Amino acid sequence: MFNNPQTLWIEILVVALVVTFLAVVLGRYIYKKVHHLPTGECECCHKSTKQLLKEYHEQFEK
Amino acid sequence: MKRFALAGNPNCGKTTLFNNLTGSTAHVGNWPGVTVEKKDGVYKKLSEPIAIIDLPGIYSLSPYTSEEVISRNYILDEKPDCVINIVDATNLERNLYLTTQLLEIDVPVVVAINMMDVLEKAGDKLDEKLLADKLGVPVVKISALEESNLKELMEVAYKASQSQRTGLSIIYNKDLKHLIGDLQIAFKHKQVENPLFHAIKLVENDEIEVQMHPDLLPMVEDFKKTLNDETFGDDIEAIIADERYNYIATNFNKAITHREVKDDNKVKENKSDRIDKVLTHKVFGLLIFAVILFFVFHLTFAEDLFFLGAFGVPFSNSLEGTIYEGLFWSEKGINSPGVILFNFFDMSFAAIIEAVKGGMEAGLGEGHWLTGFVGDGVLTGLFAILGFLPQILVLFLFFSIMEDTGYMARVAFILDRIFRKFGLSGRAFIPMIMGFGCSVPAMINTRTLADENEKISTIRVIPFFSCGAKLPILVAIAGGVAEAFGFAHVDLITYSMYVLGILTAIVAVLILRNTTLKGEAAPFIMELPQYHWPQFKSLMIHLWDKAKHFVKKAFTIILASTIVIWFLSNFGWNWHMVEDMQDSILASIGQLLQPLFTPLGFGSQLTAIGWVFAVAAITGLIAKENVIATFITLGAVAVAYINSGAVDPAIIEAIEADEEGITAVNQMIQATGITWQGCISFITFNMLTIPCFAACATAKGELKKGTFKYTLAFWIIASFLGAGFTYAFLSCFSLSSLAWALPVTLVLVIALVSTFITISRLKKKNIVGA
Repeated sequence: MFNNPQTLWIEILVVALVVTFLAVVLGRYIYKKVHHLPTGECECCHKSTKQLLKEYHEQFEK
Repeated sequence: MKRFALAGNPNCGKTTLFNNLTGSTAHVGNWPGVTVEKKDGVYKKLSEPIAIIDLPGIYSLSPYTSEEVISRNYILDEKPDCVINIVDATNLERNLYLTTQLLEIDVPVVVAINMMDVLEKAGDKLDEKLLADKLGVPVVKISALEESNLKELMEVAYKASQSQRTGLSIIYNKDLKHLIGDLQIAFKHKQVENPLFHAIKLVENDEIEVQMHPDLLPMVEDFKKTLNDETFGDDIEAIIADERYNYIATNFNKAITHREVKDDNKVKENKSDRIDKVLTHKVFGLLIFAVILFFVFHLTFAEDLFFLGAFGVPFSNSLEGTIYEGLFWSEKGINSPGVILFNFFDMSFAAIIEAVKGGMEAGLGEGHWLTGFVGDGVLTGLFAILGFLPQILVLFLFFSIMEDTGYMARVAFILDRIFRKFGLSGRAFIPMIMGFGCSVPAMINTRTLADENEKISTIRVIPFFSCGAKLPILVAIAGGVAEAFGFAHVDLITYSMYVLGILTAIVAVLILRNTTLKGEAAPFIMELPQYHWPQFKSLMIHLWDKAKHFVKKAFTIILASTIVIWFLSNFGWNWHMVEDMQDSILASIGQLLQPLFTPLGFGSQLTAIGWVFAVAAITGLIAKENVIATFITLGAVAVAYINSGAVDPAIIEAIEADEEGITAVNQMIQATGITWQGCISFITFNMLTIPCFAACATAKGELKKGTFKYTLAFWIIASFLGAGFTYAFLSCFSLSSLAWALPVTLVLVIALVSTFITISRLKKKNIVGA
């Protein structure tokens, strides 16, 4: 691991991407739980309603 | 933005109308009580957008259930611009009972007579003008299912919302009318909105009104003393209900003209009634359900469709050697539709993985850790889970058809007879059936249960109704068992596991309702909906919902878990990559946990890498699909163990002779030396154990404070006892594992007895309240 200079940048990139992905997934989950926001299937319904309202506000200003 | 609320009886088509008006994909079921919370959407086909609010189905505006409280509070407090009251045309009398209450509120009301298509097909006619005259509000005939007249309904509702409406009472009892009038003046004086509605509710002795306006209660109490109705005595609520029904019978029965029946004495019987005679039969009903369920599993998982191969029907080998080999049939027989789709995805994913791995090896060189990480870890784990999606969709297509036609409502009715004997009503069975889809909405649906003990019991047994996420475990392990031990029928194993889940639920309910959660089953009154052909759109909405959640889960939590598992299985405690996975962090954690599962057949009795089963059981707690993702990610450890020479050469030959894509489970079975009894026990454990994090969080939210810890303990005990007994029972059929069966049975019996003693002692001390 990390011992081939030719592939070093790819390895670093992959590790950075993976760490970012894990941080986002876990961080998002923890954030939602701490702030009592919906997760899983409940989140999906919540999102679709939000999207409909967003579309409405774009069309008709508050 | 104007807001229109949809209100009506359960299963009158509110959510179907809501979906068609707003383009939403809210879950629709052909049974009462699917919606337990209000939902919002936007209708955009009028001159201005309208917010549509789908309220839970209710029979009245009295606060008997949580749905009634939600709907009542919304209409009174949020003051929608119009209430669209959906009325089932096939049950006009019962549905109009709610209408008479809605009319008492100072809000524009439009009555939408739904299911007109069903009414007209039966040969009946409805005069909507007469209805509108009598009700004093607009009436529109619609069919939410066929999307007919919806625009007209919205236009009428929009017009109605532009003017004010004052509540109107249909109570004509002279004395009562006088009392209501006095109370109405008193409410007006107190500047309470909707004075007529509050006045009538207070007369009805409504719980909320009594609490909110105790100062006005003496007026009602004084009136009661003078009241002595011939039939109802001083029960004002009953008198008012009678008034409402009388009004409906006198005024609205004329609006409907029934098809002429030649023999007047003969009760009119429609097609649904005739089908129900068979499907809800006392004896055959249950048998038919078992047969239907079996065929659903057979069409989804069978590799020998209709057992043709077993009967010796020969199959052409014209596709041998081509890429289609094994896709439609194998030497066992014709594949079921579910298996064909599974094979197709499996082959496609295998080709992608090979191509990616080949490209990476060419670029990075042989044996590079990145190739292992991306190819064997991330891609293989992810695709292995996604590969189950077609079979999950096929299974849910059948479930959706059963639900959409109205058959699932009959299943609740059939099983009510059985569950009632154990202390649960058929109403509790509705969330249980929903548990076949996902435990989260199923647990939310238990809000409809008024009895707290019944609600707790139901939440505890919902995870036993195997959800979609558990399917990969079932299919992969059952497939592994079939390959490794030469058992031809994967469908039989999966079907048995579903039945086992239901049986465990019955046993658990029996124990709970007779020990810590005693109580009488509430009466179960459910209107059986009319049978109708499933709607393509509705089926697709169900499947799309399922697929969307599954794929999203695969690319977030499962992918993250796969990466973590790969890391833990490839790194040691010194944070360096290990040559042998046996030295990894995961191996040491797994070895620590392994003895716990020994009584269940997948613990210390396995070979040195037997810890993988312990690890898989634990990772499954995050998301059930992780069990298989773990096997896939740890596949390399099994291969290394096999290659080290620790496995019998004959077994290695058997694996290598297998078709392409030897399942990781098969590798694990061969490498760990687990018996088929141990495999079945492993499935049982996963079926019964603590559900995923999301379901646990929902259960915690739905249960009374302080009871969740007992629920967790219940799930752990149930899974250990269930899997242990399964292993012990199955071991009796094999001489090689009989030695394990006897001590394991003894240990489990002791565990069971001590659990009972502990519970009864805690109960005596009043520690276990739930």
